[in-house]
Amino acid sequence: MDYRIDDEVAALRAALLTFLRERMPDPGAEPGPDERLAAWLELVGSEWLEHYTTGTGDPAERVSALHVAEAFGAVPVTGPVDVVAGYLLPLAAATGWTAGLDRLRDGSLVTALVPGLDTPGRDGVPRRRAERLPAVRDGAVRVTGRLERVPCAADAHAVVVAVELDGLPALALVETERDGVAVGAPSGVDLRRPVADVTFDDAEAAAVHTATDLVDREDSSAAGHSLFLDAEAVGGGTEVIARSVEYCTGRVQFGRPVGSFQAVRHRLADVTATVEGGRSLAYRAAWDLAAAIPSAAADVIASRLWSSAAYLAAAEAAVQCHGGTGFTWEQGVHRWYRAAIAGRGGADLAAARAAVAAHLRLLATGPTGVRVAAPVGAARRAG
Amino acid sequence: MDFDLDQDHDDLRKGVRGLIARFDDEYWSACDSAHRFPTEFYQALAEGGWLGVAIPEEYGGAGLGITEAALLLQEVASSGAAMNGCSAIHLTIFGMNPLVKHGSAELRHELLPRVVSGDLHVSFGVTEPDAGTDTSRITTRARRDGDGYVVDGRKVWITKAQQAEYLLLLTRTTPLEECAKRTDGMTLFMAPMDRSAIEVREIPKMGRNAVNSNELFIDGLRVPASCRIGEEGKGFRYLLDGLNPERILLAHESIGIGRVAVDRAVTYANQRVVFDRPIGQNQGIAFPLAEATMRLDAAELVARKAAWLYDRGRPCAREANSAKYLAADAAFFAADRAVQTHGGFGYAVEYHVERYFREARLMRIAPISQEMVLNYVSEHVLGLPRSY
Repeated sequence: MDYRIDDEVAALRAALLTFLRERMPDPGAEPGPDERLAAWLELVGSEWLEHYTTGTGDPAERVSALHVAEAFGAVPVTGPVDVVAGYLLPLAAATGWTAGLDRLRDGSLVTALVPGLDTPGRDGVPRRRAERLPAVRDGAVRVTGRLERVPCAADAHAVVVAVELDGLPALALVETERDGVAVGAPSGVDLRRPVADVTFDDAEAAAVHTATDLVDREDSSAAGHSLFLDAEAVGGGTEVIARSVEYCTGRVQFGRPVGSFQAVRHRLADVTATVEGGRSLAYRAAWDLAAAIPSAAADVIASRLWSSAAYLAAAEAAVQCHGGTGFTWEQGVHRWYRAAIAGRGGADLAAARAAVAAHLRLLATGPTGVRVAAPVGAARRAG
Repeated sequence: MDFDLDQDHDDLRKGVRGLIARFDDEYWSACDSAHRFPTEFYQALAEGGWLGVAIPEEYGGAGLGITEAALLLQEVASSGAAMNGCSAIHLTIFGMNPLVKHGSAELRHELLPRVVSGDLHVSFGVTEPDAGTDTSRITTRARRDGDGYVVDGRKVWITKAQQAEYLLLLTRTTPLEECAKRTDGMTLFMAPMDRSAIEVREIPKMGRNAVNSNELFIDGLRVPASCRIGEEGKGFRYLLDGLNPERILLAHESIGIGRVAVDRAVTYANQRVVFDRPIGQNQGIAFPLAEATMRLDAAELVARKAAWLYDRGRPCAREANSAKYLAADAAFFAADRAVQTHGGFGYAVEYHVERYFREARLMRIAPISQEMVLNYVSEHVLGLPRSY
């Protein structure tokens, strides 16, 4: 891997940061539904959500896209940014779903559940698989079932649902205002993306899409979404550290800035190193994924584990280093802290660890299942 | 609990401290580097009557409890002797518990006075290479043969086997597959260390080198039936009696290591001047040492409570396990920070904290790993399903 962030990519991220800071409402101010939807319309119209989709082929472009996406972590934005930019747009583009792309681009707020990690198979390769709801043809295509914890569902105009139709995997776009669709009350710690359960009872789909390689495309797009979350994590982590440094430089106690105390500065230095490690790992995983390196799927999971932990550590350090003000709503550190908690909680730690363990087993035994290296001490015991 | 100073305990600690003051860091460093058993130290404690602190008075001991034994060992550890000192005497002080409680009168009267006088070294022979923590899987076999037994098998991590005259040996007398319970069918012996039937190989290791650890290859060892402790097939139960005290003692030993590590670090941090001030004035140095002290304080309270419960015959497994875990963690943290405080010199033998560090590391593995303590608490304290 040989890559540098060039001036053009740095300028892109700076432009996105400026746009988000100037145009997007602060989730901490708890904007109402109309304000959130207006902001979403403007964000979609700006086409910044589509930038991430440009970086799915070439390794260097993929890393560049990740770098730019860090801005979405630095500036908390209401709406399913990660779902749309990180998953739905790349998936629709990869599978040639024109109607889906049109809907995602018309300013509607469309959301979905991104496929989670499946139980590792014998080959040890991690895969992400959607839970598919049953769909039937009855004049129109109708969907029945329940999706839990769908991001931003309460604001959504439509939900993209993974379905099984005629015995085959498919995607169904279902309008939330249709008969048979019930959206539960929003909840969750993350102010940007409150989640809600969505129930479909013979609900008519507005559009249906299928492709021969849909399941594989869902898998690769979900891995890309995982990297998008990593980008948000390192962007958010970097932002809260920068805010903490600024606060600790200005805040004076005992006649000196609190940032001059080693207990404060060292903690911030520690989390900086951790976040930077997360950034490097995410870039590497993105490169490997685009370059189709065999271990890329496992690297992406390791990156999610690292970045989500690093973000949480940075956000906790930020709250602590801000002292009493870190606990206040007005100061606002809690916005990133909430995002970090949600990110760690959404990392599906048990499944991620199981997937990494399966990958390690594969490394130890090889695809034949025969152990490559003898266990330590085996020769001695045999003697 | 009573947090007032106990005068007897204070006297005990001062007495031990005075007796072993001459065995300084240089002595322990020399023993460690030469892999030499600290015979002078051992004899000094024997002559002072300390080896029999927990052995009943009728055998020449002091007949005191686990609390007193724990205070003694903590004092030894915190003198700088660390595990080199504690392991030299640990089994002598409390390892004879199964013999005291379940051994025959003849065996007790023959051996225990010699233990107290320091004349007799005994090793503890339980662990096996392929059984590890799962003691029920031991395969060292004792077969009845006339008026005795013949033993074959292997043991590993046998402390002091180079010096030992006897081996407190756990064997299988009934194969596992023939037992109703996995812990049945094991028999405990006070077996003579007949070196014509036992090959002893020392295990090179990272620390605690003054006290050897060994692998034993037992081939046709004859053990008289009179050396059997208690009934045949109940050996594991007799050992269980000793598990909680062992954890309590090791917890106190860990705390002792942690204390001496912090002491040395504080001394150095006050003396060493960099950027025109003592390095202890830096929060990056001071705070971890303060944290280490608080961790040790907390662990010590739990350890003391465990000892208090045990001496009153009350259940103490939760506290004994917790104490072992907390103290091992606190000691390692303290030793690690002591090395860090010393900077480059922390890595040098001359300042001794590297020795504390190596020995503190051991405490997170022995006598039981931290993970097995977590298993115990998960299952037996919290009521979660057994995970292994």
